[in-house]
Amino acid sequence: MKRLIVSCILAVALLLVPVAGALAATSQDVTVTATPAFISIANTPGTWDINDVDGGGGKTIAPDTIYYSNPVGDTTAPSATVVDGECRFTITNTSSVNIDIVINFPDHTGGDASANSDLGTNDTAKFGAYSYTSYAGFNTYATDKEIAKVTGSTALLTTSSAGDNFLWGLAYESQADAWASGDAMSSTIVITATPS
Amino acid sequence: MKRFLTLIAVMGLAVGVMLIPAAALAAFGIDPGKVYVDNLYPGAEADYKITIYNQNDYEATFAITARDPDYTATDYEVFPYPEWITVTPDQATIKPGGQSDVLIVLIMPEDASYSGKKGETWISFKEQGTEGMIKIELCSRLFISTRVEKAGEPPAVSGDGAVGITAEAEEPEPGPSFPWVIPGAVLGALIAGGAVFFLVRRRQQV
Repeated sequence: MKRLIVSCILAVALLLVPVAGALAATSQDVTVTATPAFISIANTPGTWDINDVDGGGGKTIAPDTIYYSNPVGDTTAPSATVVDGECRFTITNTSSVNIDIVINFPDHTGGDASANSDLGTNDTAKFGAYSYTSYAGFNTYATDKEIAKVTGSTALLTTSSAGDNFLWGLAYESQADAWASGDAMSSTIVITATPS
Repeated sequence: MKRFLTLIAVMGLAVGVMLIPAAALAAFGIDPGKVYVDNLYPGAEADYKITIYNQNDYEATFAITARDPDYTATDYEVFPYPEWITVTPDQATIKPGGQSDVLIVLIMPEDASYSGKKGETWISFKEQGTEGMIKIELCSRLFISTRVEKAGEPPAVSGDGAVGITAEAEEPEPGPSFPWVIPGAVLGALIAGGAVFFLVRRRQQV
């Protein structure tokens, strides 16, 4: 009799064993250890009033005209090989790793709200823009300048080393047709830094 | 006379330094810059943190979003499902010199069909309310690769960046997981128990 009872209890226990699997924990942790990679940049100056590179103020822009952030002159194109003196802005790579730099130029707000053509050239109610740099290896103006699009521009500079300083500038071609309102427009240019 | 000239030069230098606009210099940093999530599969989840450092001398607010990359690494496409990514918080206010963690959660839905693919997306950090025309955006690159089958290894997460990122990958354990297993086992136990009871009673009667 005793033997029979023990056998039956064992049978019941065996039936319950597979249930334990269904009640097990369902998560698993993965821990990653890596070398710190700090991403940071500085840019100066933080503004550009188009056609006022000398900072005199009170100037307006004409339609269908190319302006540069070139300290040499507002309508002076950079040299075939861009030099530092033709760039208004300085970016310092304060990261701990190499980085890429992208310049995007969103549509204007206010006034005629001129939109970016994303082609580098102007059109009716659309402006065009390029970014350029004097950084060695990227300073041939004709071939190394990059279209500054609303988003998704090609990187102006790739694999900038940690601690690098480099100078850069913008070319802006105002919309092809005349202004309707004549009120001021503005846009917030975005410098994007990512690890290479 | 020499001492006087030196004094004038030092004063001039001090004035020059003060004229440098502090607001135009470095504002913030992030870490890590690259994170890889591999072997993602339908139903799986991967979590990690990005730390943001406010290097300003003032309290600053940063907006954080997942966005399409401006370009991608070789063999990677633009990750087509940004809705799988949750950023918490999506806005952070940090004291000067302070830092804050942002949690990135990537969940691949059970019914997703994105197997054996490689996608890249960027986690964007922008300071809010900054005056001026030119804004700095820092992006951490997130590389995602998926596998074909569901069962097997949990997603592996690695990164170039902050030490000790913890990633959690959820995966069903092997073994029975069908909903009828537990009631079936209970029913079996009841039947066996009944049989024992019946046999014992029968023996006692005999």
